[in-house]
Amino acid sequence: MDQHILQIKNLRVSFNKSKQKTTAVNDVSLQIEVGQTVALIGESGSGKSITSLSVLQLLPSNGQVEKGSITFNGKELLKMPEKEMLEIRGNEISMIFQDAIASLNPSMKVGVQITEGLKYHKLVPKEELKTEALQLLEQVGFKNPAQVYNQYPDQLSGGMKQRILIAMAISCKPKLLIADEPTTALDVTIQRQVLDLIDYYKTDLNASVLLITHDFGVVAEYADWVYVMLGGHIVESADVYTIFKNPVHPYTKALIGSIPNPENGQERLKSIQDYTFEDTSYNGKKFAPATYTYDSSSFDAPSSLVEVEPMHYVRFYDVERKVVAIG
Amino acid sequence: MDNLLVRAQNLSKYFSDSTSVHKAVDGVSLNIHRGETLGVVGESGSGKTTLGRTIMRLYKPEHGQIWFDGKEITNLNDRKLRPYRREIQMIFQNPYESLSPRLTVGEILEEPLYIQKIGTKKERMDKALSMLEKVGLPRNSYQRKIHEFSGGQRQRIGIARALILEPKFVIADEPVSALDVSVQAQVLNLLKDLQAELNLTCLFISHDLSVVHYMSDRVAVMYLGHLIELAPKEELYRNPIHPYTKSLLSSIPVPDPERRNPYREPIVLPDKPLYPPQLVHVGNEHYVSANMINIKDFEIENTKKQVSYI
Repeated sequence: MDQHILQIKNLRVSFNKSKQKTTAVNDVSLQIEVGQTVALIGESGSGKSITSLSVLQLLPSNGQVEKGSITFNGKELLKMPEKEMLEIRGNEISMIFQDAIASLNPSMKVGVQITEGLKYHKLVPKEELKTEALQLLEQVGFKNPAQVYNQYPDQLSGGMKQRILIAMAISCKPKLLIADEPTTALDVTIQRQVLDLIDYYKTDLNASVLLITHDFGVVAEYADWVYVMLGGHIVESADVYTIFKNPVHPYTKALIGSIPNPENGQERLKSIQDYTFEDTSYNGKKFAPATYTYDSSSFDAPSSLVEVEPMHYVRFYDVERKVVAIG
Repeated sequence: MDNLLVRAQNLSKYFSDSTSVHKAVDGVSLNIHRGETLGVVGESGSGKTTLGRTIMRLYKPEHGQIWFDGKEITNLNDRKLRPYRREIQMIFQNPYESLSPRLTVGEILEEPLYIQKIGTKKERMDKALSMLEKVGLPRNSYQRKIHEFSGGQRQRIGIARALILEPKFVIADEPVSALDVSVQAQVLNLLKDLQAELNLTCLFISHDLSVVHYMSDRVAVMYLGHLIELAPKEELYRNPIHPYTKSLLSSIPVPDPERRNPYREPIVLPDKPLYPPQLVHVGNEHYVSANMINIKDFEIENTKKQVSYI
């Protein structure tokens, strides 16, 4: 029996835009064990959302998976017919999207909305749906579920909408929750409530979470394992303690160094320019990519992840690379 | 010369529709000293943006007074406000929406100068070019349009536009919340450098307590339109008194997995009191609103806390 709930191997995803092909995700491998929270961290455009959309096979129509495999519970998702995929989506894997406002149907009462999955996947009879909905609303922390049941999304605040999305996502008790920047638009106190809720659900049902974020603070609080993405590639991965104690890739160092931290009285924040990619090397190997980039095409030479210490991987160029001046 | 640049006394701004009145800012008093950065934190809906805009007189307050540089500006009309517009400038949150996509960067930067009738065409251009240099953008940005720039670069343009009139006072309303973390650090550093170089006084509004801590000298906490706590930053972060401030501070994710704390203080969200609270001085320039909590209780707790920190 495979102990990995999700395993992605050498995934490559590209997009066709006006006859040009752009590779958004390249050579991405990641795995999530049962009960784990895995963080995928990177900036906008690094390919983290595309990776998660590939898992659910919800890529935009001009995007396609070129290579690789994605197995969930031992089943290959990429070759799965749409009909079977429908059974998995929202049922065994569900997703909490970043934009709560755009993810809810404005003309439908939220109480009815959150039970759609139950109706479809679990074939819960109509008369029991309302009881289930009220229970879910209570689970995600509403003190007055009966009142919220009858409200429309625009009557709720941002944090409440995000909790509705969570209620919807956990309604079918999925084994894997993908949370795509679930708290980016929220205030700190609400962020904490939402993340605690996801964490509680995970522990309670022994589920797994793929947490997509750009905030290393959130990662430190909630994740077990961390993958750092840059320009469509994973550039470093390790467990959360190692990555904070001993980050190796300059990009990871830059991301950690750029968080303002009230406790250590920084005089100046480090920004990405304060780290050099080009000139530094690690045991004679050159870090890939050579420059800070959003673009996967800057990985011009073959590179791969190398184990620098047990269970700690960093991306280097395969061969000694000649330094080319970039003007 | 008076050390106070901005003084707001009992300031209120209400928004109303046909059925209800929303008290966005309710009885807020604060002073901003020359050369200082006052941070304002609070959640969405706490009135921090409205406070900034009211101090700038983009809104007319319902009650209260505002003094700028020793003169009252509470009731001035648009024409009389114009000289003050030059001295108070704003950096907006979203550089994707606050800059015109139709104008070139040069036109964006020169517009405030043109409106204030400053300089000749040539002088305005020189000024725009030197401003671009100051915020770290290449000179050829001058004839380019906004869509060619990234978020961080756009925010640099927003900063350049705010500073081109050489204001005395800048209100930065969530200037980095639309930016990625690594870019955020650059923009914050730039703002800090310019502030020191030009001796600016700032009101820095943000929901991110870590960012506010990095930028500010003193920090004001807003909650439901009221100012509930105000203190020098080290004092506030070390010794928060109001239960809401405590909740805010304990909710900041600590970027260190070794110090994960499952037993954090519960989040306290008190109800809004009927009347604006009074700020009470509790030592070390630390003020806290008094009618939301029992002042005796926290004095005892406060001494305990100070003891445990020494």
